[in-house]
Amino acid sequence: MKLSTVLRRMRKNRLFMIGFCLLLILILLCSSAKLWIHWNPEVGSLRERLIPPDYFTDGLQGHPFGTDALGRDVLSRLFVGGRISLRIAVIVTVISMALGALVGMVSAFYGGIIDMVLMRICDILAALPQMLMALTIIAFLGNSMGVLIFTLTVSGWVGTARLVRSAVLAMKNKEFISASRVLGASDWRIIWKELFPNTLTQLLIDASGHLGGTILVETNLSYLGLGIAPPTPTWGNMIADGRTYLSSCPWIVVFPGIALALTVLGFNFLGDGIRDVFDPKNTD
Amino acid sequence: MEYRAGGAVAKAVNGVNLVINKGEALGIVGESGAGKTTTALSIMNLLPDRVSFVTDGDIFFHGESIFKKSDREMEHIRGKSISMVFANPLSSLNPLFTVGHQIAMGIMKHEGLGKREAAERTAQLLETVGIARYRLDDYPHQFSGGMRQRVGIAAALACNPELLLCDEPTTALDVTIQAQILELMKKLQKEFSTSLVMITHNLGIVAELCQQVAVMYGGEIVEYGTVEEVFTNPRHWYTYGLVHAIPNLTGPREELQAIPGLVANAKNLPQGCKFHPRCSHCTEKCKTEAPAMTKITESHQAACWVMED
Amino acid sequence: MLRQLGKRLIASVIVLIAISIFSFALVRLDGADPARMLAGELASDQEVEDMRVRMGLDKPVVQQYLTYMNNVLHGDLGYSWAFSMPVSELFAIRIPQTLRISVLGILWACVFSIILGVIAGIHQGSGVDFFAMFFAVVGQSMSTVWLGFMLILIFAVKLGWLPVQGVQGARSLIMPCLCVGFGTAAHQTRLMRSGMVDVLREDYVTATRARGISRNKTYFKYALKNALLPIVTNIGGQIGRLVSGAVVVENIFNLPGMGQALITGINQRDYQLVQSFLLFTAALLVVCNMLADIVYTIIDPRITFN
Repeated sequence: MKLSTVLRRMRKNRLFMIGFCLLLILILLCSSAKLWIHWNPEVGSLRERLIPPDYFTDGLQGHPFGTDALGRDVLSRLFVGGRISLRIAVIVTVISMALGALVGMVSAFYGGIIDMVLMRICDILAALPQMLMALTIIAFLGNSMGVLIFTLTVSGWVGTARLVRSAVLAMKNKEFISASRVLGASDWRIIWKELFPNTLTQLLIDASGHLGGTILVETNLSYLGLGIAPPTPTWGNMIADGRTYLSSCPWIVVFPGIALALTVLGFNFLGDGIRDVFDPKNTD
Repeated sequence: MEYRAGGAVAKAVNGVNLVINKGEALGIVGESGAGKTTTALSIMNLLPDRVSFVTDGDIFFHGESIFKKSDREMEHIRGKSISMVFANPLSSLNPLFTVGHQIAMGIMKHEGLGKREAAERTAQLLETVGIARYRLDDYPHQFSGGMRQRVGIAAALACNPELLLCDEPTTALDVTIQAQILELMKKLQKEFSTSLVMITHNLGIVAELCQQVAVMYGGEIVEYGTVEEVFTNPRHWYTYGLVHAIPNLTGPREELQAIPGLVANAKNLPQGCKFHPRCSHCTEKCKTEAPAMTKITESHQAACWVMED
Repeated sequence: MLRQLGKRLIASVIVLIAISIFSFALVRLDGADPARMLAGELASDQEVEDMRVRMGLDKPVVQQYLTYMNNVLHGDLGYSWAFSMPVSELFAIRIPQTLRISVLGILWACVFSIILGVIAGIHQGSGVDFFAMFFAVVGQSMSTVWLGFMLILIFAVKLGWLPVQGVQGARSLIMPCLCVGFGTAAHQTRLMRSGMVDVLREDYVTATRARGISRNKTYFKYALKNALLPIVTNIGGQIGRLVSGAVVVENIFNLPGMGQALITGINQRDYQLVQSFLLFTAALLVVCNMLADIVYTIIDPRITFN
């Protein structure tokens, strides 16, 4: 498909554009947060505990979204935390996609014993729900950023591998693969030049779902005290912190939750949009 | 009859006037996209909801308007008085139900038979179309394409319909199987003495099965008459093109004449005669004014400004 | 069919053995000494040593594993030090609570999503369809924790209709069930809607109507079965989501179920409890996936069991 066609369809696709704009705004705000926030996201002033939101009446000088139990500015934590949550999601997704695509393609391409062994490994890793797996690994290995990324990746790539494997199996015997084989292309060349590009759409759709899913799992883990260790702000940590003050100071929980829902929504829209844009049945 | 979707209006079928008498067979011929299937579905009153609209006209069955009937009344006509054989036997049988069930559901609905009696009737029907009765409880995927179309025909004939609509019943099949299915249909039409509407783009099938033929182009009937008159003396240039686009297997080889251009797009029909952009005898009049059906003989009419004599 | 089933069983057993080794190794990877934790900070070295012997932790690791597995095969899931009772006994007490919210959760999710999805699919582009899509998209974007907090905030704190947490009769189950089933309901609504839209375009639906079968019977008896296939394939994944969901929800609403026991066990380094929980969950998922496959082959005659 020509790039101009893709771009035109993207512009015309409402879901794609909503998701794209939503994420663009969020990413810009989060990545530039360090430049414009007025408060230290990790250290608060105890005199300013639990101040209700003033909704920008004081501009950025005040606490537009209020402060939390330790007197930290919710808005500042929201965007600095968003940066960390997004970064975790992106790293986990990129590694999972790469590993999953590689395993899936190799497994389907070579078949036989390689396929069997790789798929059994997938079965084992998928035998436990991702969150449960992550939960126990973090509990016993400690909750650092590295461990969190590792645990979410360990079970994260399995779904991708299975997806890619079945996609490759479906096209393995198509004419264009046989044609390159006849022309003397090496295995790696066929995998890299023929099979990979043809799974790219599915990978992109999978990736957008994965990004959203990772952010959601991070929240759950943080709530159970098994995410990134405080005081580092992540959306999960912020929501978890607000538990005690839920009835008196709901803003501590509400804002990060909305940010989180919007982000995941953005990723979901983006995935749906990509599906429509690259849909072979799409004739504009 | 119009299809409307997302602001686009497709005038699928316009000003079609057809009469089918009891026991007769009518062929409707035309390229894909000419509105043949839409015509058949309108007769069943089964056009998709919300996107299709009958803007004008009516269909009468035994002198009663089909569009004025309630859903309930229509249910008693469909499958009982009028039934239909679909184009693609691979997609027109539900993969999750046994063929026996799919044939029997009409029988149970219309004849009020119990499960066991319906199964017996179904088994007889299967034998009539040449399938062994023990295959009653098999699923569609266990049958070949030709066998599935036999199942489709059996389901359509289940309640001895007065009118049978066949929407390209053989296009999805191999040539040898096509012949078998046609033989079968010919035999069954005689046996059950049903009226038949045969929708196809294959003139040979029409010549073999039908007495009357209607040629459709761009959602309109352009020529209508007895098979013999229309095929030996085509008066519309489109019909002429169709007849001469078929290779003659016997006799001296003639040059084949393909009809140039593409089928008219129902979303954007041309002014005047719908066929004029592709017609080699097009005049200025053809581009602006639509020709009306004119009688050539008692049993032959066509709509063309520049008829050949 | 039987041979395929046998193959699947063997593969499942291998998976379960791998999970047992994984969970057995995992809980021993951290530096903490459960014997010391259990004996208490003030215990003397001798007391800690005695505790270690009592817990069976003085033996070589391989022997510990073999003993554990032997016990598991005899129905003995070990002893929970955190709860001072055999793990199987703890599970027996805790499972009904978890089962209650999970089963009710998936039940409402299935009923709701199937009805909503089917109606939305039939009336494509209508108000119901819009609501269904909105619900599906938003429902899939919400974190369980946040959803739980918002439910508490609205229904317990602001409106005062429902108890905040704990076990006080049927009313206290409403929010946890909503919370557990929400993601599944959203996901399945979407599957069901698109399934229905696809099926209604099929020739065989028109063919069924052409035989005189009424609109409602065609949709709800015939097309529904076709549209249900994707949901059945997906049910294994949903059970996994349900287990994770239950762990979080039990902690939010303070329900004494399996999930809460797991978190307590993790925090107290209760090896045998955590090990057995993981093994139990894996076994549950294996069984559920196999059941889903069997159901699938029953519904779809084209698929043979594999």
